[in-house]
Amino acid sequence: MIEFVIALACAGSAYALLSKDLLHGTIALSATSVLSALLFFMLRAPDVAITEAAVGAGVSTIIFVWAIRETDRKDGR
Amino acid sequence: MRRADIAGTLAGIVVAILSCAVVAPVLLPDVPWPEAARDLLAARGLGETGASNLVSAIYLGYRAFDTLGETIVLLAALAGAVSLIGAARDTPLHGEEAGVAADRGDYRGPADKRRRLHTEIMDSIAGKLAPIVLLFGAYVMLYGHSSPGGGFQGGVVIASGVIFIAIGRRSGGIGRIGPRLTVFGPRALSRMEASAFAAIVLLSFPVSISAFEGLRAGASAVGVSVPAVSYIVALNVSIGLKVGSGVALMCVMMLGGESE
Amino acid sequence: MIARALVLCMFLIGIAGLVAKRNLVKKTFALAIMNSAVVLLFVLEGSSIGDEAPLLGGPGASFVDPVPQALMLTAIVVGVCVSALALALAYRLYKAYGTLDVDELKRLSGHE
Repeated sequence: MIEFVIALACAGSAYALLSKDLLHGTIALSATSVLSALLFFMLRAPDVAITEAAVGAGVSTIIFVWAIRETDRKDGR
Repeated sequence: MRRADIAGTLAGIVVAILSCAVVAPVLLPDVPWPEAARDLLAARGLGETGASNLVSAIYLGYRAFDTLGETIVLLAALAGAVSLIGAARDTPLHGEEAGVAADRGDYRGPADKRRRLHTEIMDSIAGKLAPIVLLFGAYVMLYGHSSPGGGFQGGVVIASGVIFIAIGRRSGGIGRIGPRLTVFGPRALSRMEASAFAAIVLLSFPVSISAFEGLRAGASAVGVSVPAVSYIVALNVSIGLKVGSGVALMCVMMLGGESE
Repeated sequence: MIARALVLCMFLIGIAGLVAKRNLVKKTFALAIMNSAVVLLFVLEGSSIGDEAPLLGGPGASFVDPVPQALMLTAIVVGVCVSALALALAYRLYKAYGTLDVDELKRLSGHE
């Protein structure tokens, strides 16, 4: 079960790096953070899970979406 | 452009193979994890720090200086980001003069963007969910010593609540306490961050720890019992306020909140 | 063993993306992915010696190791600091030069 969730997080991070639209990449990175938070809960680390969920799926996604909004949204290629 | 793409991908694969050659012999063999730290903490953690959350006992009790260093890193990074964003707002766009920028037909200033954020859903939901999120953040912050949570977690949730307020309010909405001062505006947030950081630095000195112990002894002589865990609670509250106001300040500046 | 190999794979995806991609925002994605992989590795290794969360007051006494979890709290916060500052710098570069591509930036700023 743990290996399956780690494999999903790997797939999400690979999609974040390969997508042509930066907004899709940001949502994939946010999904990777949520899967990491789930993984920390399954590995009996509730403090780290709360921190990763609040920081990764909250603040980090907000600043990435702001950066994409102020600059280009396409990768350019 | 295609050649640069292929060269980049090839370089990426070579770097990945080299990193694998360095990291894999450390990572992949099955080495048993030592248990001494866990046994020592389970036996003596509660007695020495008073916190039943062992992770909080470590990073706020035994290794509080690490937490002080992390707070300083967060302060430096957020101050740098805020000053970069503020300076970038004042420079003209690429290839234009300083005075021409405001006259262009499609200039997207902060007021323009904020008007576009105000749909019906944002107005009716974001402002009303904010008090619940702030309450949850305060709960996570205050109960960090006995259940999962703590200063950083509660602080980030409080910052999310303040962002809700900043997105969902019209001009001059929640929290106005004077003709020029809002509780959730940039000036008040930066002052709150500075005072909370000063409180953290004061609480971390060994002088203040011995003063706290003297206060506890004096209070118990009078008859009031102050538990040893209140030091951790005080540190949690100051860290939470500092992180929350710092992150909220950066996000309010990103949303274009210079007008008070 | 398989879980550690998958975490290593995630770290290698991050470092390959950091080198191969030319967009500054993609490079910041790669930094965040590498941070996530390292945090995952430490918590994974620390969880192998017990099966209860490290909160006193529970029934059993075989806790998970709390030391890696305390270290990883600091690591996650430092990771978000790196992302925030990197994106502020990228925004400033975009305002000054009009592009986010590192090759274009090298050419426009005269460092080629």
